[in-house]
Amino acid sequence: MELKLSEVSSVERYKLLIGLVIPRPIAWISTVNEAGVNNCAPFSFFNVLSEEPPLCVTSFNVRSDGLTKHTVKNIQRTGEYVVNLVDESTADAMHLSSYEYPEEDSEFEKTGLTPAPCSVVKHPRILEAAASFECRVWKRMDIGPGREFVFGEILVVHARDGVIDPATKRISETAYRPVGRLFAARYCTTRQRFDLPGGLARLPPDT
Amino acid sequence: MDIDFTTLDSDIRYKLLVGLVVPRPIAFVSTYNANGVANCAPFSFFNVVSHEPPLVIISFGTRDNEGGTVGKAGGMKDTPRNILRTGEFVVNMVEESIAKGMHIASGEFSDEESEFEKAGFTPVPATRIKHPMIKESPASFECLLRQRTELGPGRVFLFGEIVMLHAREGIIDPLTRRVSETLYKPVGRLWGNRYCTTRQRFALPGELPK
Repeated sequence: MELKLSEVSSVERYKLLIGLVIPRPIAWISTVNEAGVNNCAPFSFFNVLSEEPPLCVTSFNVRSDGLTKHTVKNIQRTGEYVVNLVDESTADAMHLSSYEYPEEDSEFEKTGLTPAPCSVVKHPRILEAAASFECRVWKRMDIGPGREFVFGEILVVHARDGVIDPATKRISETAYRPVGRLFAARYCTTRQRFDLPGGLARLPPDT
Repeated sequence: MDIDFTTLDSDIRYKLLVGLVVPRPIAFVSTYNANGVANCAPFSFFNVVSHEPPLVIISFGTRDNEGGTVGKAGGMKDTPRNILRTGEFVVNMVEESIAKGMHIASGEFSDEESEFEKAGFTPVPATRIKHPMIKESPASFECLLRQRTELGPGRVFLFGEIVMLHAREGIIDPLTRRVSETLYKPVGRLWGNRYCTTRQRFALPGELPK
């Protein structure tokens, strides 16, 4: 099948892209607004881009009502934000925080999360998260109607005890079990791992 | 645990980032070089970033999967050179059936060697651009280079606009345009030689698989 993307409706195009480009990592971004309300929300048009300098990118769309997302407003106002990473233990709370709440409601309160102070940036990180990146805006790009890319330089990394070995800096595969984003309300675990070449053939047959 | 990233050795920084930001989708990028040799290589500092316009981003480093500096004294890889020369490229998606070949293609070959031949893939013509698509891939995006940001020697990230989408029969329902979960099972990138399947899926809110 061949599709010219300019001839596909915007909604269908979105669904095709999020259905095909999977699994996506999740940036669970936490910020505080001007009134001091702690906000968090997940975004999966996200990835790491470079280690020198250490950069990640997140792409934001407008809300369903056409207004700027609270996360974006808070990043624009302060030039800083926190990217928290999502594993199985926090997946449900992450999903609940994706709902659109009024600005005076805190997703931390709605989902039972604990804001913890950061070392460099003024925003809170999510205490329950497996790992958190304190980020400073490195560059912003406005793309088309209501779409903005934010490139963040990672200044400080926090990790829950056990996730990173203090001596070797290796990441524990048992303590850190991230989930990936698919589409609609769907996600995947990363439990079924293999080494290439050869390891895939040793997995049980797909059912 | 707190780690100050600004003073950390860049090799360790790389390992922490590829270990923490997972699972990553894989762009298996195919291009021709100036001599007509068909090249393909996987990159996981990649994602879709917009649907209007439809854009992907790919970041190219000079390091291999182990974090070591590779090729041409750390110079630019063949793939970004071919993209910058022509302004076009193909992103092929990777599922279980071609994962092993994708991994073989991630090895460092000389400019004259074709990863298609080394990994047993078939180049097929794209519709709108001059580069080849990987026939064995479940889905391929024909992309036009829209923007580039250079970070240092050989290190660049590129934005591509997807102009054509190709999918193997059955992957996209012709009527509903839904992507089939039974026929399309891509793999995700972890680190080192490690990958994950996307077989174990769940919906939220709710319980995770046992």
